[in-house]
Amino acid sequence: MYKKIVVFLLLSLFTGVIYAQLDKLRAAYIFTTQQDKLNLDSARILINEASVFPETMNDAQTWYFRGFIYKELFKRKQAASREAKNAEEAFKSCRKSIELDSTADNKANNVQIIKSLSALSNNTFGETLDTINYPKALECLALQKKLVKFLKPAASMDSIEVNYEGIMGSYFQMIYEKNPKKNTKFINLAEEAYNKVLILEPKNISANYNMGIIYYNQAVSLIMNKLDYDFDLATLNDIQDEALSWFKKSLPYMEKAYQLNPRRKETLIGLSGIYYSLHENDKSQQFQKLSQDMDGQIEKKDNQKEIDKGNH
Amino acid sequence: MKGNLSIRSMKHIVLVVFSLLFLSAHKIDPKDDTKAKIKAVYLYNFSKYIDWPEDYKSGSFVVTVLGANSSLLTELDKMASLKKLGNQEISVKSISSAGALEKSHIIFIPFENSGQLNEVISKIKGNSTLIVTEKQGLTKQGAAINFIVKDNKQAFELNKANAEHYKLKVSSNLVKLATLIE
Repeated sequence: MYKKIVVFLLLSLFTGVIYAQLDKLRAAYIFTTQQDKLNLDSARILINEASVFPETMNDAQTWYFRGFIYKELFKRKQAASREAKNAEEAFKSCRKSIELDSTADNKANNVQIIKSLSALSNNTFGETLDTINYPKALECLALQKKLVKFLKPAASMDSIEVNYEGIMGSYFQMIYEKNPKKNTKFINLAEEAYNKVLILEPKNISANYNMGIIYYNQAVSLIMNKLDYDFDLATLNDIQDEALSWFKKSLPYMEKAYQLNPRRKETLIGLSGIYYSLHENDKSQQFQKLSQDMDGQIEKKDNQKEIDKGNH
Repeated sequence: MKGNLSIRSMKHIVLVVFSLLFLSAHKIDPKDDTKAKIKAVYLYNFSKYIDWPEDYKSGSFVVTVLGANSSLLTELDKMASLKKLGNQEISVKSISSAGALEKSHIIFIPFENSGQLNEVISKIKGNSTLIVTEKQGLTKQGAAINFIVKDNKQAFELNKANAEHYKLKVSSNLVKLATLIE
């Protein structure tokens, strides 16, 4: 069916019968059937002319084609070079098409394009989440939120946002931890992302825990990497002051993570580490013991499982 | 249709991998013992603010730790590999008991080995060794310097007379920064 339409449109074009704006619309669609850069660019020019011409500007098909063409423009480049503005145009065009013709068929066709955009945007997010291309990932994240909001109006946007921001925060944190000296700026990006999560979901355990870790590691990095043996005692005191403020900043987040899930081992280790650094040894040991007890319980369970297996 | 399925699968994989990244915990590194690093910097500074007798100014500058405080020893080894005191290389030693103490510029007695202070003192005899401890009250029992915690920070007490007893001259700058014990 698709091929027949293309052949028909090609014949219409090359017979030179009609050169009105309507044919520009058809020609634009034909160009999109070729996976060729030049044709896709030509298609864009033609569809943009059709989208402002009075005869075609209120035709749902015009905007459907436009959506299709811009989706293809977004898709044709490698992830790092994809331009989100093309995806935005595609999305805008599809919505306009649905506005003009809300019949089930037209809606389904346009939704298909939006779903493709969402998949492309999501993949681009994954492929560009690195130290160089991360702004592209952020761009795609913003786009993805809009697309999901349209495709799943009943879904909670907050939970979608929490998930994506959490992913971003965790990724940036990982980049920072790999090379804190070189990747300093990523810790700020991680902090920003977790803050967004906590605004939407103050009881998010992972975000609270990771914020605690971020601030704890800031203090540790200050002492382990920036404190030089040559520093005099006054400077050492200043650095201790600064580190102390980071440790104190990390504590409420880690405590919150503990309140929300007292049986998470990483949190117990985190609290033990923070209290140790604050020279509060009793509390540090208390959390260390809880963490060790948990190890014991896990070991006991594993042993019981082995015994049960043996009995069977 | 096949293409759509493939895109959907990829989308699913990408989401799952990154969601796991968020849920998986970033951990603290137990190897990073900030207190040990701070103590090492203090010990290095003590060596700069204290003047040892002439016969201690050649050969290696020896720092001995009583016990197996591995974090501190790691930090001191790092310090020894990076720094010198004048022309003196820094040598870090670990001993399991006070009886094994040899001529040292500094002896550090960790909290858990505080009970061996008297034995250390009797072993030092007339040597010029700076005794550094980390238990309250030990500057009144013979230690020259004692690490203390003040407002959640590492600080130190100084008993100048105990240092001078071993022919060590303490700089006025060090005195200014210490909590003085007499």
